[in-house]
Amino acid sequence: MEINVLYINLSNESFEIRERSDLKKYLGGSGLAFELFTEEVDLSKEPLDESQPIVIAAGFLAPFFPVATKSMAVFYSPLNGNLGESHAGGRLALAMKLSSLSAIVIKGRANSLRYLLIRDGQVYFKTAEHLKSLKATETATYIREKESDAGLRSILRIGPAGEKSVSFSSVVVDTYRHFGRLGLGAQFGAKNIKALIISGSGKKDFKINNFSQYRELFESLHTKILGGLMKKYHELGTAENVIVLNELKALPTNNLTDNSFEKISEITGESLAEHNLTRKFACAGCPLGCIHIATIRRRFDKEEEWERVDIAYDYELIYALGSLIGIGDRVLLLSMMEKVEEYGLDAIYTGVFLSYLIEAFKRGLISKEEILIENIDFGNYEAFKAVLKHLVSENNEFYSLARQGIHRLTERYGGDDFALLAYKNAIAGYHTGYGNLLGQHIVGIRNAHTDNAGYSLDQYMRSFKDISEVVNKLYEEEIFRAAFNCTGICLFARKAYDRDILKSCVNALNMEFSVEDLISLGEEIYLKKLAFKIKKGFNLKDYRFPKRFFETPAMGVRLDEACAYDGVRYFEEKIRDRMEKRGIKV
Amino acid sequence: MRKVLYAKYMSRCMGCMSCMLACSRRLRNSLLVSRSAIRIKTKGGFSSGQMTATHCLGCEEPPCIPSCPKGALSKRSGGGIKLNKSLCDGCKACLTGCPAGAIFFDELENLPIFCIHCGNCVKFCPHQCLAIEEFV
Repeated sequence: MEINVLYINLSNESFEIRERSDLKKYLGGSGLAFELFTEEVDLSKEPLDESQPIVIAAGFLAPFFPVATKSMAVFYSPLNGNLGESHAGGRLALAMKLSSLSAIVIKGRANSLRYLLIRDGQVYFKTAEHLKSLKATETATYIREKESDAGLRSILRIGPAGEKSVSFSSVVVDTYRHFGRLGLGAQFGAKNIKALIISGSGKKDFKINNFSQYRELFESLHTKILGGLMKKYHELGTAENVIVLNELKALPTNNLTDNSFEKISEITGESLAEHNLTRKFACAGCPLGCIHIATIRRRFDKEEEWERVDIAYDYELIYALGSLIGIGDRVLLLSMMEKVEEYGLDAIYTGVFLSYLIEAFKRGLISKEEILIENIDFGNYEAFKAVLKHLVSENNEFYSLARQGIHRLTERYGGDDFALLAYKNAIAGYHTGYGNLLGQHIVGIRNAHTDNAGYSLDQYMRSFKDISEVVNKLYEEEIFRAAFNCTGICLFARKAYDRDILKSCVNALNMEFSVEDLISLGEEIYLKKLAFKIKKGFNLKDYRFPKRFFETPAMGVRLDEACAYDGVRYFEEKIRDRMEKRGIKV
Repeated sequence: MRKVLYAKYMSRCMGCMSCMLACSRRLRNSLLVSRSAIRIKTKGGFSSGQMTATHCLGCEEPPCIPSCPKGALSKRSGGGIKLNKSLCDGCKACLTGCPAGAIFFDELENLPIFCIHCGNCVKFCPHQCLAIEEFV
């Protein structure tokens, strides 16, 4: 298959498509996006400088195999000042393939707010002045009415937080999916892009060497996936894990001063399903459908005046906007999700920001004059609402720093030992043990739980002789995922797509990979990304975990700091050796 | 009696497009959903909460047939349309002749796309939204 890359320059409104068969071995998705990113990034300039690229690449297999739905964005993160990578589903990969595009590289800065329409390889630069300050949902409503190709397009948009370059703002993809993490929304805002619409009429088909073999493989996987292997993602969804993690005493609660939540019963997956779940949606190409939509009816006037609000929920949102900030009321939890969505923020980071703020306020590190509200405490929805409003509108010192990230607040006000950060990214909702800790902070390339699922490792590897065993397992998983994330298969389907099946799927689309080739590719991509991170300041020697992770027991065990730092040292030696063997330099 | 495709329970539809992928895959040996005879879309975005399916309804007296200036269309037994490819010149008159807007066009073959009511899409719908239904 061809690798077609669309290069867009916003500054002079030009574009061109280049065939990049030289990058064929990276397949697509994460690997392809990273290669294109390193070609274009200028490390001498700031992350939000107009010269910096945004790269979006569709997964190689998306949407050509069941649950292969993802596209990957790689960019210079304004949040960590380092490598930014975020993944999203929706219809984006499908729309890119209809336009015969493998990847899009966007550079420059539009001279006024624009939305871009990409159709069949053409780019139209359109004014978005009328969409300024609108919520992401409202933005899409106007665009949907104006542009064609309903059903065969994908609409990416930002909310007010992205326009204001909040470093943890997201890009909403097709209403219920997101490039959530590490601040792609701020990159869109800095480039003056309010939205991106991608569609295609399918002018060029993909030639497959053995179509009947492809079809057979597709259909067997479709049956396998619907046969119960991934049942939990469809039924209660990831929210099923709320009760599980709470019972394991691994659910970060009240800024991880606790590991289980006393008000959990209202906000479990079971409770949401019973009271609020009204439908499910799916990304294009996923027969499973894990997007759970909750509905709330809200009185907006004294008489019988009601509005209906639909909100997508999953485990991470329940953790970040529920237990972590002490919200145990279902309607308030869903209302928090609604607010985060309106501004276009990363939900996980927003929860961690609020939980840090509550504790810093209670300890007297930050005053009411700085946050411009009288009081803030766990469970205080009205205070959270006010803070988020100020976050995107106030320019005092506190909110100006808050927009740059929690690490900027800890530099100014202190509290870095209870700020739940893993190398400047907010932690996901697990406090399970060393696998999760080292997985998110050290081994994880995006400092995200989805890099290597350390939380899962902790649950089946309850004991070990040496921390190196944990690090080795994380490393092995990470390099497999580095290859997996080139294909665009959703990580929820990782049990359905083992190494052999993954190889068969890649080869069904005219490639010639062995399992060893795929693993080798994964390691190459992983080590190159790590080298980039280290070069940009990810310093393993001086890495310091916030104390909070060692104060609150993880699944009943208080973690030992010395053991965690032994893990860091072992990892450092291991990657030095692997980089040397692979000829990869920092 | 007609026995044709019927999008019976669209309130259950998740928008996964498995039906479209299945149609293109089986009927055209294609990976492109744009070559499918059924189209799924939202009715004003996912936030509207509504999905719609557009496909040939298998009319008793299909208005698309007389709209073809070449006489390339005829009734398919059991419902739907038969296309005589050798007569079709790709003029697209049938697209406007269909009041349901359910005839699509294959730019790659320069031919209109007609649903053959085979039920392949029904088989791949994970939420049983689609059916092959008998209409008396």
